Amino acid sequence: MKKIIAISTLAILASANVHASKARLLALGENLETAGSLYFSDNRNIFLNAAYVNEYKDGIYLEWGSEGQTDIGNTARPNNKADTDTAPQAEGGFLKSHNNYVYGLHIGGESYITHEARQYLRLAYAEGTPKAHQDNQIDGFFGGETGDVKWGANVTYSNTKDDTNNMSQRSASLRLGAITGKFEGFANIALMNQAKMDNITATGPTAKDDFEGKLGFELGGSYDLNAVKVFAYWRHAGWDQESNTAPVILTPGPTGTGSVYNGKAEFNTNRIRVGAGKVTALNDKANLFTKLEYVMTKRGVETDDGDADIDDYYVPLTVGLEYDALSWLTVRGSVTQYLLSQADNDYDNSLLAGQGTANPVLSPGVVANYRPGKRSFATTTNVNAGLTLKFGEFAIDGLVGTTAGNGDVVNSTSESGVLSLDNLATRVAMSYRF
Amino acid sequence: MKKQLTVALGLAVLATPALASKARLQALGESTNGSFFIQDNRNIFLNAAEVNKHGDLVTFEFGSSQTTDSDTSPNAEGGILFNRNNLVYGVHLGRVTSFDATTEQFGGITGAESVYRPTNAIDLFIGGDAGFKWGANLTYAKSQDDTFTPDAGTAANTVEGESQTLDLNLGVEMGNISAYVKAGILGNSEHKSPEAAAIAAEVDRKSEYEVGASYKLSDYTIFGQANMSEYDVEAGGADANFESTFYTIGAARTERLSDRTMAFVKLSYTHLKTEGIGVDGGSVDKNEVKTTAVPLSIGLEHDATSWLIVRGSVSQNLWSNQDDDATGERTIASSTNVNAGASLKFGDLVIDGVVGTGTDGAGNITDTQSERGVLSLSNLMTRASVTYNF
Repeated sequence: MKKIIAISTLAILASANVHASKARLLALGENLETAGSLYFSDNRNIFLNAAYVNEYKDGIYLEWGSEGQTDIGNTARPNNKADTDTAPQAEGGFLKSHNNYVYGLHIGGESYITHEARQYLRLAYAEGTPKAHQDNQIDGFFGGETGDVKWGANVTYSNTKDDTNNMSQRSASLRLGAITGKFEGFANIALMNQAKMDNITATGPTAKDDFEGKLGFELGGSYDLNAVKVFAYWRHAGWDQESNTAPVILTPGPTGTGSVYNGKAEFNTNRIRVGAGKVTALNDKANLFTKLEYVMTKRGVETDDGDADIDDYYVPLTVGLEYDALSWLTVRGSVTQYLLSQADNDYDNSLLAGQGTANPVLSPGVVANYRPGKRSFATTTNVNAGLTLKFGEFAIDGLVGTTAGNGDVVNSTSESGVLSLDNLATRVAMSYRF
Repeated sequence: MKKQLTVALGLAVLATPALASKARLQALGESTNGSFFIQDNRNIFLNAAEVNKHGDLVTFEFGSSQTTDSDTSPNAEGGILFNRNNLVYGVHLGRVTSFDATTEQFGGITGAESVYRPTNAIDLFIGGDAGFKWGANLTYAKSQDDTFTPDAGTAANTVEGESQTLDLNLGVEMGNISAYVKAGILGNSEHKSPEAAAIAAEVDRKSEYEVGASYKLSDYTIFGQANMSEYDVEAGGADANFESTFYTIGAARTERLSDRTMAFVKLSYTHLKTEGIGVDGGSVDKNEVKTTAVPLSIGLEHDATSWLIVRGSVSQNLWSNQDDDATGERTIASSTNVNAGASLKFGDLVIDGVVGTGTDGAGNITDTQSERGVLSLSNLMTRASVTYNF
């Protein structure tokens, strides 16, 4: 007999409640482009809505990964500032309560969003030179409960330099959040985001890249209607960048090097997400996660050689399950697919000049990743899985199934259907609640 | 539900058998040669008075016999300590000495790929309690080879190599205060060729001293350490000199979160200045490098089951600056490091190891700065060790 007990969407499993990792988010069909989940609870939500520090107080949280070397092509030291499934970045911290307040510190939690923005310059990828991405970031947290309101604040700061090629970068942000009854809301603001590098040795002593962030923010919230939790999210980012090198423009992005455009460019991006999600307790051991949302992204690029509008929207449906299999084991999995989608990328012809020659105006890598014209997103079906090994209040999380048949680790969109014991779990995290 | 038992402790310890390995200290973000605030057998190499806490213990660190020690190529070593009649005494074999660790970087300076370094180090320990705990550790290694090849790629350049080193470590513990002093008494290496004088080289440790102390104040341990060394290097008729000065001060707070869990936070200030290798009268000027940092570490150790202990840590420089004469100033990049480890317990026998370094994604083990976030069962542990309490 099927028994479905619909309770609050913040369903808590009967066993040790240490829900706290990127691996868990990925296994349940979320992605890390947004720091946490908009409809279910996880420690990672503290980076989206700082009020969640109240939910995850008295805990130590570690994410395994590398220190942050970023030499492209160096397989021993992969580019993990991009924080990919195959090369995650190391980070960790603690939250501690004191009376009605919670304070904490997190180190190494550089922002995926900032890295994504800077990747359009050689700042992040210049081979053989120091990189100018966020590094050695410190997150400070403070929160508490006042009446029925749980509130929280998170300040981030990163500041590094290297005189070798006049590299310097700074970033800071303020994140504020509140949870009250059925309502959750947050406002996260980028206060500072600058990076520059002169004398990029790979392309000569006069080569330089400059990144200057303009207004950037995240606004969002959710409301629990009991039947579902509705949510909305808006992220805006703008920056000016300048690259002055003649003329080598290589392919930017996680596997390439180089700048997207030789000259000055202005970027403005907006991402909006609206949707509804629900966590349903199927029984005392299993929770069902369902989410339907609309995601729209608009990216505007303005250059002296022309403009581009790179827009897309998609409607992903996610169905996930988390099951308390044993006293020491929780397993989870999800399937996600876009029900509708469209990419509509419009470039001025002048910006596309020179493609296929040695002197393209715009990076061929960008044009390949965001092809001109309209199309739907292909092959969007994605299945992920994960597990948690539990030892009382201590938990080890990880993604499962991300090992190729030859033993290599793969990312969570390229699995080979292998349950490997050689590499049992990837994106491993450890957490402890006290 | 928050459970917090705050116990006024000295060094943090769980109610388990021997905790004693490089892997354990590394997983907790500490130096493999000892910690000021985490109890571990390896602390006998930091402060010899610690032998009093680790009598009747035998330990083995897996690896190969060599003069260097790294995560992917650990050095094989091991030892035993006896507790008899208020004295603790013992021997440790095969450790990488301070002379070995420093002179490893001189290979290129001597015009050869490597300096002839002593192997088969022997550490002798003795300690006792005379109202206060005291300890002494003598380290000695001597090697000789009439057919040493300093340039691996040039087999014809075979030279006579000779090297020895002798160190002394004296330590005391009185109540909440611990202190030690180390001295490098002897350290030299020479390789010479009657046929090719140009490839002769001599490294002489002119001096090496280290002092350290700690004070336990409730849950806090305040510590300080300073180390100074100076080496002369003679190669191809030219004299060069290397100097190093290091000091650190800091504090760590350890807290027993439950009867099975220990956590700590450590904040310190470190300063390292190296001057070398300048060639007197030659074209190579001494290059001074000053590195200053404020590292923060957060760690956790949990007695998960009757047979398993798990541990992990995260560390990062909150601030840093490296000032190099040659290349200017910079922040030390990418300093965030997460380590993890585990102990498998079989009564009084414990197998320790670092976890998470079992694969670089392609099945090769990796070091503790380059992990891929993978829990590998094929290489479950690296830096494995076995310790037994008897």
